[in-house]
Amino acid sequence: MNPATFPFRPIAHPLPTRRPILSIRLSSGAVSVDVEALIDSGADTCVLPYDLGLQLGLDWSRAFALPSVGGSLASAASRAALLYGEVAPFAPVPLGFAWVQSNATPVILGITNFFLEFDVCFYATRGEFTVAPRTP
Amino acid sequence: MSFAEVLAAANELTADERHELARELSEPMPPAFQAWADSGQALEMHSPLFAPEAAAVLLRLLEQERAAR
Repeated sequence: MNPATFPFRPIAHPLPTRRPILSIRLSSGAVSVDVEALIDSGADTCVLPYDLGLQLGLDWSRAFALPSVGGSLASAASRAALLYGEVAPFAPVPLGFAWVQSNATPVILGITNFFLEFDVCFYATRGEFTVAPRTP
Repeated sequence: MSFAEVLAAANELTADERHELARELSEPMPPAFQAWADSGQALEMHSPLFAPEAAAVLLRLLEQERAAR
């Protein structure tokens, strides 16, 4: 399948710069939420902010506890959230998130398991990146 | 001035100064990221750079989920 191309999008802080931000539909059961997520090839896991998990109908008290995800979120408790992620025009895929007890983060798409489901190529020199479902 | 010093200086910007930088951008910033920028925290600090244990647990749970389907 041909890869889809997306532009790097502007971020104002700490200096004007651009980041690979992707629109993705996250689903849990019958609940879906469209979000903008940062693709982070240096992050070991995907990260889901606390309120977004609640919006998706997740129950913190019943979610599986995870070890710390590190970085500035190291002090936040984290639990597992198994969702479906749909990057148009591709079919939804299962994605595992570290659901953190913090809202001081955007949705992050990290190595486990966004980069195991999608092939991502960054072309910062021309301000775009491509995403394609992994080849079997 | 080194890059680290530039970044450190940028983190000292006031909210007004950050918004001034944002106005200089040619495109609007995605709403979810505007709140993040307003929080005054540095982008790089949010990356869970090293979480192999959490990643291993998530992979195991995904495998179990896949097997159950």
